[in-house]
Amino acid sequence: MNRVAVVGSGPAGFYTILRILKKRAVHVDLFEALPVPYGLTRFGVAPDHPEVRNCQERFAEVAGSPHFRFYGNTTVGKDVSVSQLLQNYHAVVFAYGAETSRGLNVPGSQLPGVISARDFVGWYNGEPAKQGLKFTLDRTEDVSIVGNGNVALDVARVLLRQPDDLRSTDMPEHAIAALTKSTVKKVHIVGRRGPVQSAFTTKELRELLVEPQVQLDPIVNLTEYIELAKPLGRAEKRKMELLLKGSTSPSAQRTWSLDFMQSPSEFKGEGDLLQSIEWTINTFAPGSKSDVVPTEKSVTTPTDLAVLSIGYKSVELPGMKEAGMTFIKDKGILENHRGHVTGVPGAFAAGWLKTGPTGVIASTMMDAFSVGDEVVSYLESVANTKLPGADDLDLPYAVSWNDWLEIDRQEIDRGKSYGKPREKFVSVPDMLNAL
Amino acid sequence: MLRTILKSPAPVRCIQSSLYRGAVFRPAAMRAFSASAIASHGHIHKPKPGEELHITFITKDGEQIKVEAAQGDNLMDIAQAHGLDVEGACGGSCACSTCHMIIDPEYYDEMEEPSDDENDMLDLAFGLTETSRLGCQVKMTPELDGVRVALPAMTRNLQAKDFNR
Ligand SMILES: Cc1cc2nc3c(=O)[nH]c(=O)nc-3n(C[C@H](O)[C@H](O)[C@H](O)COP(=O)(O)OP(=O)(O)OC[C@H]3O[C@@H](n4cnc5c(N)ncnc54)[C@H](O)[C@@H]3O)c2cc1C
Ligand code: FES
Repeated sequence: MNRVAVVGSGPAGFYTILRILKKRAVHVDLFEALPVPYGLTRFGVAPDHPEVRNCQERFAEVAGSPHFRFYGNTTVGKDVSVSQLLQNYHAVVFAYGAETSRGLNVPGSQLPGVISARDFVGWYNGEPAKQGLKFTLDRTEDVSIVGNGNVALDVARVLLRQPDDLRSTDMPEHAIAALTKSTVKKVHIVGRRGPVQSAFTTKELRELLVEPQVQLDPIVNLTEYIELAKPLGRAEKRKMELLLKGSTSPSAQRTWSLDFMQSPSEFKGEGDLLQSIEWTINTFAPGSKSDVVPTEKSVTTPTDLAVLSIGYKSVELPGMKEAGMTFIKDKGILENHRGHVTGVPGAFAAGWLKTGPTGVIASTMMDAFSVGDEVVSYLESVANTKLPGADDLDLPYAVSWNDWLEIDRQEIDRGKSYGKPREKFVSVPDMLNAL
Repeated sequence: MLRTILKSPAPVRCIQSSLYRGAVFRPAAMRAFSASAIASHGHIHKPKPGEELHITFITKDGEQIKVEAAQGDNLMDIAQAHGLDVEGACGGSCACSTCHMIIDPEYYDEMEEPSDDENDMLDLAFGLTETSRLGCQVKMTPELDGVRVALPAMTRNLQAKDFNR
């Protein structure tokens, strides 16, 4: 049987494996840097969206296949090298997602009062690398989120919702405690372009609009923006109708706004709090209904904390270049054609590493299926030489799937006393000590 | 587009009701690798004799597959239980759109209007049509007996709104 290595246990990794195993009997070894699987469905997807995480049940079924092995706590590029995988397997699928966040290069963006959505999300979802972070929530009234995708709305919802409503989710206790002390009153979500070009989806918008005790400020010039952008597609139309209706929570304790056509040009602050953000006002480019260009005009708004939610970015693994792979830095993707990594037969890219960090689980899934098909047809063309797979790798600290099931069981158990679905272990040592 | 799919003269494969016996059914194509194959989801009820409702699924390859179903089961579960390639990533919670199906226009009007929540997810479905629905949200009723349902082709260039910009 052919041997396939997969790097990264997020949706891309698991859906690629699912597709391969549906079509061909192969041995699959899945390498994951953390002791726990599932990638952003554990550390990205909001705790109050448990239904989105249902895909994990399917991933667990895949892991139950007799020819599947899990090597958690095993970082490719460190614990095992890229070249070793290429030698030991007939095919290697890189699906390690987008580790870092895109930054902004404007004055003041390095101030402590400017944080990344990725850090904040990782913190409230119990991602080990983000647990040392401290946020100024107990001294912050006014938050500005730069960027208006669904991640921005997730962050806004977590900041605006009553913390009591989050108690029944799997948000770790330390995050609930910090949010309980939060003094946040206002969240601005600021986009570079107009409302019709906003990246958030109708579902996430609706959720915030119906949230009790949370009120959206009316959007300035909304009808003009809509007129300008006509004709609208179905999804745009439905989203705009919802925005026109707005929200009605007169007794709201917390408010939010959607601001448009602004890009930050300078962050100003003292200590760990911000004082203000200066924004360049944008206008539509000549002849365009959607592209914007900066104007000479600017506006300054007071704010205590800025959250940058302008996208994620993949990183190159050590040893990739030496193996003949090309990492496209500005796009943050591994160069590939339909998933085949350029120049290295048998190497594949899937998920956010292949497509760039956009799209939902559904789109990641469909893309992973297409990569799975490519892997299967590639395997049909290679000689079935005997290869060792992980058998000759020295991985004394690897976490097996059964180990993960034990961690999982204990997390669920810990959750019971809090009345929540699980209380996550939030550090790697705690995860390993559970075993 | 739907009409052409529905009319395609592909072979008709009938699936025997014995399929309902096992909780999980593995279609022939997968049985070859039963050692490693991963079964599809789909938990459905056996229709009472005389109350079978008929559905013809049209796969993305144009193959027509006739099945019998019980009232109350949803189209996604039914399709999965018959080994059809429908993933259903959110397990039928109306939160993913991977169970997108295209309904025969003659039957579409017989159905209740999709809810706001379903429409929100349909907005993200690839290749949306006038008669698109989420399979997990459509329960079989006697009015739908004989319905034809096309499973859209999976396509690489997805239009799903960027999650992250
Ligand atoms: C904040 C946030 C919220 C989201 N919410 C939703 C939502 O509600 N609904 C929805 O449909 N989609 C949502 N998405 C999108 C969804 O999470 C992505 O589409 C999907 O997770 C991408 O899958 P992936 O497998 O490519 O990457 P990831 O999920 O990031 O998986 C990559 C995996 O690789 C591992 N890894 C990294 N480096 C290495 C290495 N060197 N060696 C071994 N392993 C490594 C990581 O630890 C991780 O487990 C959200 C995304 C974000 C960022
Ligand atoms: S299975 Fe997710 S929407 Fe139907």
